[in-house]
Amino acid sequence: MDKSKAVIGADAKFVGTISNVKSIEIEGVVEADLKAEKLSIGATGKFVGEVACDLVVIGGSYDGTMRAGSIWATQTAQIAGEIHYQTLQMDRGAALNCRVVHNWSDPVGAADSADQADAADGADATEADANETSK
Amino acid sequence: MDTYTTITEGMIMEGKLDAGHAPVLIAGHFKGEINATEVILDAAGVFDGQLNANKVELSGNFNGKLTTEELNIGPTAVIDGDLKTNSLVIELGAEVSGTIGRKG
Repeated sequence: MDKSKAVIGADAKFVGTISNVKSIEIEGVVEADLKAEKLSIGATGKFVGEVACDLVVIGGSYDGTMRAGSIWATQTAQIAGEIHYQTLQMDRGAALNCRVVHNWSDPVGAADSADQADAADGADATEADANETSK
Repeated sequence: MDTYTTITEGMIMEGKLDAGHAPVLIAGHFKGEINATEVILDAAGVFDGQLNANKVELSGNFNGKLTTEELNIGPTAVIDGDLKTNSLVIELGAEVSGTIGRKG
């Protein structure tokens, strides 16, 4: 049992919202909107809802609107809805039944990375303050 | 293979979870309803809502209603709610408020 890894188990069904998570693995059924760094939908997993992620690995089924930096659809993937991506990899056998939009200019993480940059600046500032205080 | 459903520290889930046979580990924040076989609320975990399970271990912060066959309350637990169980252990240090009754 690993406390540091977010998982929705194979037998589980969740309906609602998921937030504040970096990396999550879906082996069960999830109806939710998700924003994360990494999403992995396992072979038994089923995800319905909106997704905004840097990296998505799909081995199960997905329906919704996905915006991702990289999408890897493995051989058992079944995708419906709409996917926006910067890089897409598709294994033989993957079933795509969706609108596919390539997006060079509109990186998913743009807003996030700006936020993170701000946050980082903030952290630096705090650190600098701390240093000054310590002097 | 049964995999744990895990809500990691800092993660927030709101809604309804039917966990099936796989155990649920909550180290983050869950609001809503959980139906499961086994639930473990970690010391860092927070639960608000209704929890129905066969076996429950509480070490974190619990608010709401709980129905379970077997309940184990750890020393770090902070509980406010309505507990119904047929087998109860409360360890020294746990803060428990509310009502406790038999599940029947």
